[in-house]
Amino acid sequence: MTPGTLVDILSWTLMAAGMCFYLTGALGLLRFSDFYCRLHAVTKTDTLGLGFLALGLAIASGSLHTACYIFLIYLIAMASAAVNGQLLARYKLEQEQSKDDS
Amino acid sequence: MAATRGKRSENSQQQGLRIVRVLLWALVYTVIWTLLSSGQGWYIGIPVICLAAGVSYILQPPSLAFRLQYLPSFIAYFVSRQLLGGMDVAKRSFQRDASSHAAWVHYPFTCPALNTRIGLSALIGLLPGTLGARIESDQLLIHVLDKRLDWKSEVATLERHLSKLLGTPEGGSS
Repeated sequence: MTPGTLVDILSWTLMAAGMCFYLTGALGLLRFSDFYCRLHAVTKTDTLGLGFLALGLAIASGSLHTACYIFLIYLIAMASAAVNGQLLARYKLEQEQSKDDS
Repeated sequence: MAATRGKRSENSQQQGLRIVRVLLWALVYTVIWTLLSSGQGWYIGIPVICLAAGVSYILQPPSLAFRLQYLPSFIAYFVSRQLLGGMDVAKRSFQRDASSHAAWVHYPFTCPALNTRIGLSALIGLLPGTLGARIESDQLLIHVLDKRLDWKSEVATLERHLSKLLGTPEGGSS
């Protein structure tokens, strides 16, 4: 087995793992009972899925520059996922509370 | 008279600090734009950077400073917990009563620093079973997927790691 084949296997395995996490996130969205539980599914599995996908793509690219570029995009996506999850939860909570008050 | 003069100079000092911080943020935004766009599209980039810097001036985001020596341990801890968090939700999505033990809980902050509190409230969303919803004075309102799990020590550990990383005072053990 050549080093190129090994790199291909590793990168495709990582990308497949990423896709599996995306799929379980989608499944969680369908199966979890309320809005907040669904937010758990979206924030956690999607971020992890993107992490695996980014790692696989970085390895497949074979270029340090592209790898750093992908890593930067991943960091920004991870930060926005964390903040968005919290903001959506807060918005929904405040909406529910204002409904209860009125 | 002297007290008023002292207050004024303190105010102008704070204003100066605020401007320096915004300029630092603008620099960060410029670097991000340069890297992501390969130094192109400045006709969109410059207005976006100015807008982001303006928003930073209004919202006053916390300082960017952190202690580099604590970064490796923070990354190792955070990545491992993020991995567990993703796997936990993935596993639960296959279970029949996946969200039957979900609950709202309050976590009392042990660290008084605002930047640690804001960081904690956002980052616990990526930890196993926790999602920060709102800071309520000295407490954080959290939605947990399973109230039977030890969510409190999970959040406390992240708070300790963040306090060390950001150089803010650590509270007592919780």
